[in-house]
Amino acid sequence: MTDTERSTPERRAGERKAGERQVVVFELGNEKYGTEISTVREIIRMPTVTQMPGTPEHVRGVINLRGRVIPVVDLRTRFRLPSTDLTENTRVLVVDIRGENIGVVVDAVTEVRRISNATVEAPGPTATTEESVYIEGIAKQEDHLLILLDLEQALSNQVPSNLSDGQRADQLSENAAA
Amino acid sequence: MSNIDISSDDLKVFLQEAETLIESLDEQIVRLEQDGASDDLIAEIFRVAHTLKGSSGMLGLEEMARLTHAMEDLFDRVRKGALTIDQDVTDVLLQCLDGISALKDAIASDNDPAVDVDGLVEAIHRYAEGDTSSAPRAQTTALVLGEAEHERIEAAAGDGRLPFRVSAALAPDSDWRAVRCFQLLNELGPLGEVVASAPTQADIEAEAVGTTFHAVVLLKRKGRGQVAPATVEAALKLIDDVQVVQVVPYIADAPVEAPAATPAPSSDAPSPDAPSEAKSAPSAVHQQPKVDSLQPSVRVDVDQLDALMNMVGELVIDRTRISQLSRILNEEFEGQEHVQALSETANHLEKMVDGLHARMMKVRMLPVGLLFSKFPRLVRDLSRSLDKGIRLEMSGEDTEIDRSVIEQIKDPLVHLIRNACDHGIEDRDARAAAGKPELSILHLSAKHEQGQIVISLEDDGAGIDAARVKAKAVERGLIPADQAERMGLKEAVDLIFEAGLSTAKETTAVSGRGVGMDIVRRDIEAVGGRIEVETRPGEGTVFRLRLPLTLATFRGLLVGCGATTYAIPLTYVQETLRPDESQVRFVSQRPVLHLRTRDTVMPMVRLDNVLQARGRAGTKAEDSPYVVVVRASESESDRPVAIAVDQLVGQQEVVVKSLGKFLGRSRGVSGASVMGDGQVVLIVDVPTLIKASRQSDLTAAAGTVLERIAS
Repeated sequence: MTDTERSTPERRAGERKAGERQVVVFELGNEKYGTEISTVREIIRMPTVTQMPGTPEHVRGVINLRGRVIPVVDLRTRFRLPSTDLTENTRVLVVDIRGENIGVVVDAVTEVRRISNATVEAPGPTATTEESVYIEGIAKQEDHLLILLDLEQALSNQVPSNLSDGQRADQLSENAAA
Repeated sequence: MSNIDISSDDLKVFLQEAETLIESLDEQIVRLEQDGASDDLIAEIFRVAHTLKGSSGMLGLEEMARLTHAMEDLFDRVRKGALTIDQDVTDVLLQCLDGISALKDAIASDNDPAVDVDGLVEAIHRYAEGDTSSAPRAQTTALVLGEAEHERIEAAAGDGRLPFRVSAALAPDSDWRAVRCFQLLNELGPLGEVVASAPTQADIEAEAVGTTFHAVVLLKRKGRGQVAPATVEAALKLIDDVQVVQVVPYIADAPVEAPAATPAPSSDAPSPDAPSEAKSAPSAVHQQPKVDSLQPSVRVDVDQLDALMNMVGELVIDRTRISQLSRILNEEFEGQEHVQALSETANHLEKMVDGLHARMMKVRMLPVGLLFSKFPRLVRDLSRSLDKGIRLEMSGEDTEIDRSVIEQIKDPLVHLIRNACDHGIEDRDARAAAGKPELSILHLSAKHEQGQIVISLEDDGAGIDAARVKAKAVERGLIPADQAERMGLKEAVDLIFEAGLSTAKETTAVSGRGVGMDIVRRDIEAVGGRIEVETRPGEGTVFRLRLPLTLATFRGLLVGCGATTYAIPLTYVQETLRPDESQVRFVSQRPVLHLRTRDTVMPMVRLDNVLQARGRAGTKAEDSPYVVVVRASESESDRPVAIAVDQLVGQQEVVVKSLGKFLGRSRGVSGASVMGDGQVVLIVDVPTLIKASRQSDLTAAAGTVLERIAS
């Protein structure tokens, strides 16, 4: 698969009609995840990241995407998985969350796959892991399970709360004092 | 709105045009009242009103065409000198304009308009035809709802009763007007609770009624026994002589005054002298923003412009990159034909892109008059509602400023103007007692000054009472009493920008409560501007806004700190230096920078530490090779702070990239930019940084005191 995989309205329409969906499959730790292709703008290699002060830990920083500055989120940190070194396979999924492009760092992107909605089960109510809230469903594949992620949920829930200026200054002054 | 068969493109164009026309009429009508009717002004008003009438008529927007037509009739009488513009006429005209504006909004949002077109047209015609003999000699008291009425409305919302505005028109030849009004009130009684009416019960008993009837009624809209507005309409229509009935939801801010029915005093005896008298009123300073209608121009969608600007911004970055690459190649393969050609092309590209960028910036510039044009109306309305004689004078309206800046400063300016009218300018009695002229002048001006735009708002009011500001600040616990005592006038007055300080003795409907000058200051600083205040007790107050010409780019000082490069806007930078050991001192173990030449001591903080950047090496401020002295403004109360960094990279034009909503306004970082080599640099939010450093400074001072106590 190429590094840039764009979804088109036609493709999306096609997938709906057939009662199946197209997902981008990526790896994180030992699990395989899938996310709706329509939210994925492109897939790029890990660029140089500029750290962004005052952001939650899982925000790695910002990158330059063809002249635009976009934030990059580390999904490992977000899901409290142990962090690993970057590898040849590390990729950034550039996803569209409410009109904004956000980069999501994953261990590897393996393929784009059509999965039948019939194979998708709702996540069990007993699931209590950190990421379980963002799981749309579990797709049973021949040899493994594919966790379907709602990236919008996973990322939006962690938008840093907008502190008032006063609070912001307070926090900063604590930093300055430190 | 239904039954309009217009293409959406046509409609869009019309709505845009209508908005411009309405705005300019609004401004002209206010000027007409202030300066009197000059031939030029009337001609211009005619042209604008006529255009509006023409295009609304063409699109079949009948009600709008009727209203503009009625206004034209009235202007015609003014032109002939048969009618003098006074406050009442202006009120009616402005109400009409609000009506037109509401109709326009209704078209845009595809809603049914709640505009009493008949009432407005009737009111206008009373002046336009000068037909005062047949007009009812009645003072239809305006329907004004006081606080008590609004409280009743609010209370009623609890049990599902909502306010509706009932308007009815009686046949002009009705001989039983008072009786009909009485019947209307009576009919309403069982349907809902009448909160207010014009005429009131007392007016009716005194037979002081006109041909219109207005009331605000609370109707039960939920649960058992609910009453539909249509039921009310039907019931009222059954009354004899009642011609038009309208029942619409009542909105507190909408003009609820009945169309004024007071005959114009001069309309019986046209006095040609009156207009010229009015013209001699002071008006010298006011300039009309010149819109050259002969210059061909096109309207461009703002989104298109922003998209273009973004692309040009990226071109600028690419241009820098290509120039760099071409230089590198040139060094490596000097003299080679292709390399030579590349470098020539790169040079040309550089010129073209720079030209494109400059031109693009120019396209984004708008005269600040576009923003100012809304203010005469604002001041006029405030002046009337506060019962103060206030006149707004403006200058420098053609000063150009970036569109994005204009949008950002509108709210702060409105707030400052309201504040000046409400609190700055004294009421009539106080002015008389102080021997000041009855008419207060509010002067709004704009000018270029050293690559910045300076907008000043000057009033001739009582000035800011520094003692009261201090007392309030101490009372609210913002500063200790002994510090307040030591404060000079300027420093004390600057306290008004602190959060939680409002010195108005009482809150009023105009300025409200809560939203204070701290918000204004924050908004101005958010666009990289500064606000200053200067006050002379008894003489007045000036607020000065210093704003960047554009938000798209700025001159920045690039500094390296840790692994990251930061851009500090040059407007905040006082100086940069390499401090020697003698200049770095410690106050309670915290480094301070002592500048002997200026005799100042300021806290010294390391940029990455104060921002709490991740993965920093832990270098201490006192061990850093360079410091950048920054200051929020020239104001005395804004003390400098020394920011320690590893490297001074240089000065550069920085193209601002938004960080988007996902990151929000990150603490201490206001945005980012991309350098020629693709590197991302972070733009330092200097005011927030300074506030943080100074607060830690105060904490340090408190620490010293504690140490002393302990020892």
